[in-house]
Amino acid sequence: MTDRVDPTSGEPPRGGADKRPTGIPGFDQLSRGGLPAGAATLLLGGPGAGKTVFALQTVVHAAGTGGSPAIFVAFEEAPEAIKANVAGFDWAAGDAAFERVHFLDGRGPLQAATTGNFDLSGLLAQLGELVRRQAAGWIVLDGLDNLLDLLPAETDRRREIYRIAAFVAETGVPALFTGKLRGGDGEASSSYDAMQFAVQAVVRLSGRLTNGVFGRTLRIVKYRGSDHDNIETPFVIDGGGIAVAYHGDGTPRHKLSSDRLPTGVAGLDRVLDGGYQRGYAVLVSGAPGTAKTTLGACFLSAGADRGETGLLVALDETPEQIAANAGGIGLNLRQHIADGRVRTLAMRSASLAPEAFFLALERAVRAHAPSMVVVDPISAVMEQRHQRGPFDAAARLVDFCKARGVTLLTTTLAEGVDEADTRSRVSTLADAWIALSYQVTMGERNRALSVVKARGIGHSNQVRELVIGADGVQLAEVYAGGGEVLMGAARVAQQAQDELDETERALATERRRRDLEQTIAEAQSKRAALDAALQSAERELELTDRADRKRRELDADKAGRIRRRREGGET
Amino acid sequence: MNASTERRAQAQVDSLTVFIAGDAPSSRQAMAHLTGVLDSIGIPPERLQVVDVLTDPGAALDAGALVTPSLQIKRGERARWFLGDLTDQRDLLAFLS
Repeated sequence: MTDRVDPTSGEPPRGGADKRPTGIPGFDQLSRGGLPAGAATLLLGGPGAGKTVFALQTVVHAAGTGGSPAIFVAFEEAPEAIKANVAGFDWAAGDAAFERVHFLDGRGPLQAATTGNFDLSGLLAQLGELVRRQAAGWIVLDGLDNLLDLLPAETDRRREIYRIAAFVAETGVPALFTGKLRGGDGEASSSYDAMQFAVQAVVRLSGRLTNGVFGRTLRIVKYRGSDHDNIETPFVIDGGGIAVAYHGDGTPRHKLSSDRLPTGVAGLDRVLDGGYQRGYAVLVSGAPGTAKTTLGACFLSAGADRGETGLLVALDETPEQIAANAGGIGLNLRQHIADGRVRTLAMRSASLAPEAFFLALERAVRAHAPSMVVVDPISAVMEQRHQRGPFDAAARLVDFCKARGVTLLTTTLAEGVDEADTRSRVSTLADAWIALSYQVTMGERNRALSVVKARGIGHSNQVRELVIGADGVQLAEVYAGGGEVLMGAARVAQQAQDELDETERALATERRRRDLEQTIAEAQSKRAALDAALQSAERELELTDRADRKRRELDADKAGRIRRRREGGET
Repeated sequence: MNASTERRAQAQVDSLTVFIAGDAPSSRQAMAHLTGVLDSIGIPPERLQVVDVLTDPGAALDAGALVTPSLQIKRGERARWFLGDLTDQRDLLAFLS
């Protein structure tokens, strides 16, 4: 597997001295570019520590990327046995690069009779000839101590070690020597005492059992003339070979975005001012059954509905079961999985070292490049309390996702806010923390949701009821009563009482309205009658006035005619 | 060593090849010891093939000679190796006799 980018930034590692990349994920970042070019490196470790795998993976990577063949001298096991041992790795049997590794069986001297002093000129002559013939790019001397231990005196061993180192420097071909540590993490074989001084770099591989789980670590003990990180770093060996869980040099580089992804929970987007910010690390904590997994499924399903791609990492539960449960509340997760829009990764946590889990997850993210990752529950692999390993691994995961702009949602089993931090410690790394809990009222449990923190987002601190139904998941409207948020039956009862009171208030208002309207109508009717009487009286008055004026006119006319008659003018 | 022992030693050996590294002290010492051993059991010196790995590394590669000095004795398909300057010749003599 090729991984020449920084695990946090995705950028190439910073160099230093002239180096050859190993292609081992994480190691080239730890060593700032790989192993010394043109010099020897010593790999020390107990039985089964992974020395031979490290060496072979390195030279096969070189053969695959640069095309240079490698020389592998096996002093401990038969070449055929070594090939069989590594046949299960992606880069081994059948791989064209692996075929460019030239194996030499170096066990011959172990079966020979020794009769006095000798040196390793024959080995150097053979290596020189092979380098010349094949233009070899790497030399591996696997278990060289088996040959060195045949030399009778410590001075002879030291002399030959320096001759080999000088040969490597002269040919300019980088070399890997593997050697045993006594009792796993104990002292190196005496043959390697001088070797540690003669070589340019020493890498020590270890393995130990912690809480019943076997974990591996490595450390660059020495790297002459080169910047490197010498912390003890976990690594795993899986189908891809060795992968080192290096967390970077402590300078996280994150892709920031103001884009929002829907939470899939009606009402929660509003609480979070639009949803989860892209590239966010979200922690959902809660007791068993509080709907942590459901929130994860909601996120994946809603995002996939919108065209995003997701990765569902299920621990101790199958993705199929999670998808089936999600289907029961109307989510399309099963279809998204079937379409490949949401990929799945299922693992058992019982025998899983935290780093093995996170490295497997890293590989899946690299392979599928999802924009959303849900880990459910992350607490399953982080139960090793008071140890740095799980926290480092989680920090690495968060940085890894953020560097790629991947929105990460992890769930963690916890009874309360404080415990969530103790169990997973992811809460300190999370941008948003959603706490789920139960609230027991009126003899029933109801799910409650609160946003403990949401960096950079204006959000409500209100505790709300999470309601799960056949048509999905939603946050109930906040219903306060008696100084607290009411949930479940209490909320329903209070809602019913409030609705009844409202109805009665409406009825009373209606009655009052009708009474007043009637009063008004009656008054208006009376007013109309009075208006009519008024108009009639006024009309009568006008007629009376008019009659009076006519009578006066007639009277005046009559008086005139009488006067004129009397005066003789009229007959 | 009597004549029958010499004949038996010669008959038991198909080839004798010694791998040396130039004039390194241990190689010179091995040649001296080996000459004496062969002489003592009647194997003529011309039966001994000498390979200098510094000038003929290909031969060392073909034979799988990792250390110098070393002696390869072939009997049929089997090859027996003796490593070192042959200071202690008991094993070699026992093998050849």
